[in-house]
Amino acid sequence: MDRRQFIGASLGVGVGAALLASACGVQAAPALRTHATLVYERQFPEAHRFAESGAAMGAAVLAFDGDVAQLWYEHLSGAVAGGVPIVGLGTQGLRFCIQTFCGADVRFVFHAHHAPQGLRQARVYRDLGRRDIDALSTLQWPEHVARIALRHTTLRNTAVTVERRAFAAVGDAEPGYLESWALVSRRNAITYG
Amino acid sequence: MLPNGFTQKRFETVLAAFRAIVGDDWVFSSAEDLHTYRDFYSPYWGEESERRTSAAVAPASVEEVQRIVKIANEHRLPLFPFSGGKNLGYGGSAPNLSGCVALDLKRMNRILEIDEKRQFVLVEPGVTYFDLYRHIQEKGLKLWIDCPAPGWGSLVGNALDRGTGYTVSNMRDHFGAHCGMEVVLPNGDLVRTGMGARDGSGSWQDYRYGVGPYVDGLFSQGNYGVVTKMGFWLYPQPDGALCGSVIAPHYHDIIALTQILTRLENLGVINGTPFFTSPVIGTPPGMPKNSQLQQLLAKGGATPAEFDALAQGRPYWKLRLPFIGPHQVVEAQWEYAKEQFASIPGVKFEDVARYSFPLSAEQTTGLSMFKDEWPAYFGIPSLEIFMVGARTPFNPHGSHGIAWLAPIMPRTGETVIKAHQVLVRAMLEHGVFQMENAPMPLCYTPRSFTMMLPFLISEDTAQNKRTRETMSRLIDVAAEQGWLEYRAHTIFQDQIMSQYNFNNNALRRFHETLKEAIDPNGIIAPGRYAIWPKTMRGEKNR
Repeated sequence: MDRRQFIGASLGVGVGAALLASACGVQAAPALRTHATLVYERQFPEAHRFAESGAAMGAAVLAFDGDVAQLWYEHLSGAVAGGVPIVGLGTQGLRFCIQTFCGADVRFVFHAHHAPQGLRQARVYRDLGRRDIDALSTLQWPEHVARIALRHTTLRNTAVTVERRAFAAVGDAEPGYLESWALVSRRNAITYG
Repeated sequence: MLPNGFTQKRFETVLAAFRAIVGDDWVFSSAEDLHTYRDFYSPYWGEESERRTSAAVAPASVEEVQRIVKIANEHRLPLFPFSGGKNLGYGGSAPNLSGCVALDLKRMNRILEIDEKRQFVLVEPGVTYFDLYRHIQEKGLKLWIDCPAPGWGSLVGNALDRGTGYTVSNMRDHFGAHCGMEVVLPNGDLVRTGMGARDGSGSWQDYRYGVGPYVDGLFSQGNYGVVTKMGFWLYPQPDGALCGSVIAPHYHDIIALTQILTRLENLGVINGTPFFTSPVIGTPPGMPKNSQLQQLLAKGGATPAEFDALAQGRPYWKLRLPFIGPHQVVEAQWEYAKEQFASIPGVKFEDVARYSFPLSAEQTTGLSMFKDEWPAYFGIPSLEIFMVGARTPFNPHGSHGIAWLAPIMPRTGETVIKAHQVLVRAMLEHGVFQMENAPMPLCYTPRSFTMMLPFLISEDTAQNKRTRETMSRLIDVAAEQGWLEYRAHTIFQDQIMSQYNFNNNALRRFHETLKEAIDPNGIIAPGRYAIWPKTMRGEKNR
């Protein structure tokens, strides 16, 4: 067991990430532009759209149906151990469990809260330009969030403290109910991309 | 952060000694690493009073634990041992006393022995329910485990905290289902309990008592040593199960339901976890709020007619009954149970489901707590529980964490009615009544009710302060009725232990006497369940 994986979680033996594009009825684009693994929460239509966009960019797509453990042990643990970035769109519990399983060797490089109508709050460890913020506030936000989150997994990032709890939607009378995020191993964040 | 009374230089000296034992990689002292030892559900999150560790050390063997403990004793450095740190809602891996060094036992994660014929397992503290379940599946053993709702915790840690599960009655009390333990005492000595006290006895996991005083209980919710091995009884894979529901129309039917249920459980007719829900008054994960009901309950009691008017034709109670065992037996048990419950006027029986084990992969994947078929009912660990507090259109604020109150109550329907009146009134006074807090009697143990009351933790320190005050008040309100917590978050353990007040808190004084004898320097988890060494009693609530 790696020291840094250890302190955050007791990792099981994974079988490696699998391309499950069929899980959401989409076809992966022929040109692979990212090797990230994408997790989406099946019950939300916005998450389906996020997954379809991610698959088109070449992400391995995994559907989440309620038990993070199954997802983790069968797919994500192997992906994380292999340095594969993980991006996701779902509820807070999905993100919390994956982050805790990942341990201390991960960094958020992107994290946003969404309402059905669009962005409510974003915390991104890179400058997010006005164009992206505007895009996340449109009705097409699921497609944009896939593009932006996956783009962040290819950026270098070295100085972010791991934060395990959801960020409060401070000052927002109507907080979003979905979270999007990108997790990259620290090792990977330095060398990848 | 430094342990109390330590200079940086002196602390570094101790950490260097720890590194010499476990290696440089397994002593953690950077802010980034220590962040992972925080209580992520802390009601003091981000405040000065949040309990924090000063460092962490992670041994890989019993011998390393012994050496660490001896050094801690020499330097009077307090340690906070934990197994998995997933005790979310009750403090996680954070200590009672800030500044303790976390003694992280996750690296000790070996399944040392598992016996299919005698149905037991011997494990180290780092073994999780997932680890054991997957091991059993991979080996094709015909055994069930009993796990709590979140399955990523440690068997040892959960049992020592007296956690509970969801399968059969003699397995659900996790401490009660253990058999034999190995403990490193504060002076570094190594003790095995029960038949393990004899070298090579061969029955360490078969008979729990040995001879002489039975001491295992001292190490549950205690701070008299570091448990490094524990045996657990497992359940032979049953042939099948039958689950049926009893539907009772009236609010006050809870009295007869409880009386019949308790008799059937104690007869051994019902062996799975009974589960009460109410289509009218709500239950976790929640039915819609009903302010009218709140008012009825809060005013100190309503007439049966008033309750019936509120129900608008809906039945008040649904009691799910699982029967686990041979097919012929569970069918007969269900028939007998129906005969008994039929004495309640207007009762109906619904939702009968039958299972054969092992479940297919498809059946296993289809299990869900949202469909009245928790994986944990069948000894299958999952993390589905973390979806309950998620932000949804019906729960727009979601939650950042949960802290629990869990008073134990007598197994009577009258108590349930009184609990509704007393606790709902108190919650309304503090403005916290919400659907998840509707007190519902849970049947983890066959002879008592547990009222699990979840309180949402936020990032808002002012809100968390109000939540703490409310929880503290409810602890007192419940105690006034004789309803005392069976387990508690670290920040409430002093208050709760003070409620156990027979003969001027004689039990706590006895605990303290033992502490002074066994751990005079107070190096093991000072303050755990209000057991403070004499020298530290002034540091309470740090």
